[in-house]
Amino acid sequence: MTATILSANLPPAKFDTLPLPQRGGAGLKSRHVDAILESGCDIGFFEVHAENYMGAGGLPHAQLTAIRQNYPLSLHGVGMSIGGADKIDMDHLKRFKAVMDRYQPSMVSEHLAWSTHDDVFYNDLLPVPYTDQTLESVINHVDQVQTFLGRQILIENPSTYVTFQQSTWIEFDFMGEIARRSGCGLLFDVNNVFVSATNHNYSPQDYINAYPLHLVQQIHLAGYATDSDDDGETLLIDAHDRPVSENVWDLYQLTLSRTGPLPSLIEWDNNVPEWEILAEEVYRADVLLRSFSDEKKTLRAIR
Amino acid sequence: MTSLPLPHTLHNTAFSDALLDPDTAIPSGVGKNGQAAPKRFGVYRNNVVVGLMDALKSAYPSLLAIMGEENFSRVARNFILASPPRSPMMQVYGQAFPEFLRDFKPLAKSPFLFDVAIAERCWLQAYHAPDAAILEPQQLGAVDPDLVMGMTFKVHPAAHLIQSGFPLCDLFDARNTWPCIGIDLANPQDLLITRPNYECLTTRVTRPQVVFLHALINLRTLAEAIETASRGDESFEPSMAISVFLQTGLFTSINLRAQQDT
Repeated sequence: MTATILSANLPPAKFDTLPLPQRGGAGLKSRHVDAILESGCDIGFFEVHAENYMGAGGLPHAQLTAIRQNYPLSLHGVGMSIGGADKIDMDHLKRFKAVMDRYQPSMVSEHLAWSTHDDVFYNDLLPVPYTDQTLESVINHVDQVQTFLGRQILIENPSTYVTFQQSTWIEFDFMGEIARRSGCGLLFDVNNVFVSATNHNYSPQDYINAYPLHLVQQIHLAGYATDSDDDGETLLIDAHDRPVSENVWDLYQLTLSRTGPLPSLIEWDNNVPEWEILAEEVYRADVLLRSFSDEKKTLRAIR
Repeated sequence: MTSLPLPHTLHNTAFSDALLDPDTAIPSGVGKNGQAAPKRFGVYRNNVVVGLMDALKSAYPSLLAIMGEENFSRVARNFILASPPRSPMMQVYGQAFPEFLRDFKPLAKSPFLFDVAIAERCWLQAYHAPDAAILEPQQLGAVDPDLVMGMTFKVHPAAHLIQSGFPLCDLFDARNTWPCIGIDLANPQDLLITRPNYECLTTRVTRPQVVFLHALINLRTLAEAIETASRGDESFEPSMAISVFLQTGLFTSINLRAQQDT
């Protein structure tokens, strides 16, 4: 704790309604806040998990207030259980809105996953079978959340370890249909694409080429762990515990070549390193984003 | 053989039943290319249990240090199965852990663990409590001397005062200093938890100070609190006790009305 975090009650104003910049961002960790504020580092934006700021007061709010005064913010939910059969938990949605109203994020996002069933919260992003029935349910939930929050949200594609025999939709079509019918945007997690493609034996490049990329407004990047499955085949785990792997950086470039520059977040939630190491990952994304930004300008000039 | 598609609710029920209980069969049609894949499903089982275990470890670091990884994990696993979270707010998960520990038969010979758990739960509540400015010494100094003894105080929302029959302060410090050498279980210590700014403060207080502070927390006047504490212990020093509450930020404001009403 340093004396930098004292202005907990000042209204955040600097980036009120601006969209996130087309730059690299970092998932915010409490232990990094002092280093970030002291260095005044040039980071495009920060993202936080809404659930970590649902307490009444104390250090978490003081830190986020100080960050919010200096950087644009993206608010990411991990507990809404949008892909679950249960109704949306209104108490949780109200708490989520309170965090949103307080910190005025530029973007709000959640997952295509479920985590609550029969009132029990499993604290994990559990996989959804892709059927007409689950599609209707997800669209209704997204619609309900967007209506209550009074704004568009982004839905993130999952990383999965199992598939469902009952699934009748391909994931990228399912994502596109959710967005088309609910009016939500998409958050494209490139690491999740690589993890799922490896685990379910399809081409991540084909997946990216078939994805409704025109609906994507933000990108996530993270590191994965390598394990093996029941047959001794490679099983990748979405671990968020290490640097982004080179093959994910390659897929990120393929994505940017299709989408142009987009706000791109580095997620590093376990075995969290020193701030400088995480910042290096963010700057690497920045360099790539700049190259695609320049490319876009050049193309425009040629035309 | 074709399997009928499971309705969404039944699917979630079958999947979640198998998550927490490794003896429950993995739902059919969940796996790899339509075949069961226990190791793949096990990733979810592991994520859920390890995630909740980590949440308990970070909420109860002193208990973890005292009990050791293996013992703590065994109790935590039992607790997770008996009381899985009911809210996505993970900072409130484990509120019932102290009572679970107290009633856990294999630990019946270690009743001090319950006191440590209570203190850790209070610490976490203090950490997330609403913000409030603390009472400053000059505010106390500015009070009309005729009204001083009739003052009452408003307690800070983060404050907790814990009376224990065990060396609670030493045990609580296990989160920073384990292994501690020479903790005397027959040496009772009382603990005051406050949060004067954004950091929680743990302060050891004497038993007469506990009596005094407890009276003030319960809106007794300063005179009444001094009298109650002195009755129990003639050596009680009010000035020391007052400096404890000023230094720790136990109170937020003074109320002079009690004196004026009489």
